Amino acid sequence: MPRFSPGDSLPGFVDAARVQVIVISALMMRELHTRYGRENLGFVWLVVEPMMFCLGVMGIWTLLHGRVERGIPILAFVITGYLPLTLWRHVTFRAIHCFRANSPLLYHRQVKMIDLLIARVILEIYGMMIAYLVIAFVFCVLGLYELPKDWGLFYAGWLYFIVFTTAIGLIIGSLTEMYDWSEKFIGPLMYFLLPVCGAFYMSDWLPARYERIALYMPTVDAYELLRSGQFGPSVRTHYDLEYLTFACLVLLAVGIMLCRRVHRFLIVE
Amino acid sequence: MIRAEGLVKVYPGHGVPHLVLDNVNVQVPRGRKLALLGRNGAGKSTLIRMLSKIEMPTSGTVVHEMSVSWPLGFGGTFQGSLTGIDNMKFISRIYRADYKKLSRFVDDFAELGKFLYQPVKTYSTGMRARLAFGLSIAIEFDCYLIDEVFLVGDQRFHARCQEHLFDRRSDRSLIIASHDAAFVEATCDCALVLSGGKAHYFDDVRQALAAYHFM
Repeated sequence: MPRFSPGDSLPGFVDAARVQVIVISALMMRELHTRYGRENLGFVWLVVEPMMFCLGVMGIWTLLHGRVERGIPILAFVITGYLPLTLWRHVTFRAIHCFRANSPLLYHRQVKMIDLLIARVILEIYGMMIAYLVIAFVFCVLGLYELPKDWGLFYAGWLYFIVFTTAIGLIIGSLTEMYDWSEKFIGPLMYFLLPVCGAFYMSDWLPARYERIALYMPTVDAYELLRSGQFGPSVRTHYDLEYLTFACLVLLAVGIMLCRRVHRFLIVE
Repeated sequence: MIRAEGLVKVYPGHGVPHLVLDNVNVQVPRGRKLALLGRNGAGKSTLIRMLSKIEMPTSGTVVHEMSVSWPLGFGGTFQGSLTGIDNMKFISRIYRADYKKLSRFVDDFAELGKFLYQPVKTYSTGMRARLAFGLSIAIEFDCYLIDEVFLVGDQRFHARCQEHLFDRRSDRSLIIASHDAAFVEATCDCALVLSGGKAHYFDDVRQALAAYHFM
C-alpha cells in the first residue's frame, strides 16, 4: 500500500497542486453520483437541464421577435445570452451553504473548502459547454445558427464569464456560511439582476449615457465580448477589457479571501 | 512526530465566547500511544480536530512530521447519501491508495458484505466505525487519531482492532480519547488530562487515571 501523508510530507507547489487536482476530480465524481445518481439518465441531466432551458427560451423569443431583430439573428442571440446566464445562476445557487452540505468530507484534511466549490463550478462548465456544442451542432445542420465569426473573442467572453462566476460562487459560498440571513437576499438579487446583466440586450441599443453605466456591470462587458466573437464586425459591440479584467480579479481575490476567512471559523460537525 | 505548540481554541458561541483549549502543548513521537482523558466537554474532540489539522486553532501551531489519520470518531468521514463502495472509492482516490487492495482489506476487516452497496446513512454507528477503521488501517498511517469510537464496537470489532492495529501495527502512534479506564491502561503508555482548557501530561497512565478520577 503506498505511503502517503497528505499534509506536510509533500513539499512544494507542484505537489500541492497535484493533490488539489486529485481531490477536485474525486469531488467531481462524487458530486455526479450524489446529484444525479445512477438511475435513468444519470449525469446526462447535467447537459439536458441547461439545454431544455435554452431551447424553451429560443422558441419563445423566435415566436415573439421573429428570426432576426435589429440585424441580429435571434437564435444566436439567445444561445449566447442564456447559456452563460444559466452557468452563473447554477453556480450561484449551488454555492449556497455548499460548505456546510459537504462538511463530512472536510474530515480529510487534503479536502479544502475551495475545492468543494471549484468541483461544482467545473461540472457546471462541462454541462454548459456540451449543451452549447449539441445545440450549435443541431441548429447549424438545420441552417438556423452560424458558428462564431471570431473564436478568440468568443472564448475570451466565456473565459471572463467563468472567472466572474467562480468569484461570485466563492463569495456566496462564504457569505452564506458566515451569515445565515445573507441567503435570503440571493433569490431577489439574482432576479433583479436578470434584466441588467446583459443577457437580453446589446449595450448599443441603449442611449449613450446608459451604455456607459451598463458597462460597469462586468457581465455586460463579458456578454459584449462573447457576442462580438459570435456576430463579428457586422454588429456593434462595446466593452472595456481593462475594467472587465480588473473587476473579475478583484472579485476573485475577495472570494478567495472570504473563503480562507471562513475556514478559520469553520466548525467541522 | 506531531508537535502542537500553544494551542488556543475559542468557539464564538452566541455572545458568550467559550475557551475550550488554553495554551495546550503536545508532542507525540513515532510509536507513542497517548490517551486523552477528561470529562464530557473538556475539549478532547476539539484537541483531536486541531491535531488532525481539519480545524484551525484560534492561535498556536500544529506540525506533522509523519502521516496522520483523519479523526476516527462518530461524525464526518463519509457522505451519507453515497454507498459504502462510493465512499471507499472517494477515499482511495484522495489518499492515492490502490482501490483493489484497499477494498479487499476493508471487505475482510469490516465484514459489511452487501451493506457496502447501501447508502452509509443507513449504517449503524458500529458499522460506520468498522468501515472507517478498515479504510484507515488499509491506508497505513503513522499515527491514528481515535475519538471514543471504540465504545460502539462489538467484541469482534475489538478483536480485529487488537489484531490489526495494536498487535501488527504496534510501531504506530495512537492518540485516543476514551473514558474506558481498563482499555486506556492496556493500550496507552502516556496520557494527557484535560480540564478547564488546560492540559496536564502524565508519563504514567495509572497516575493520569487517578488524577482524572480525582477531578
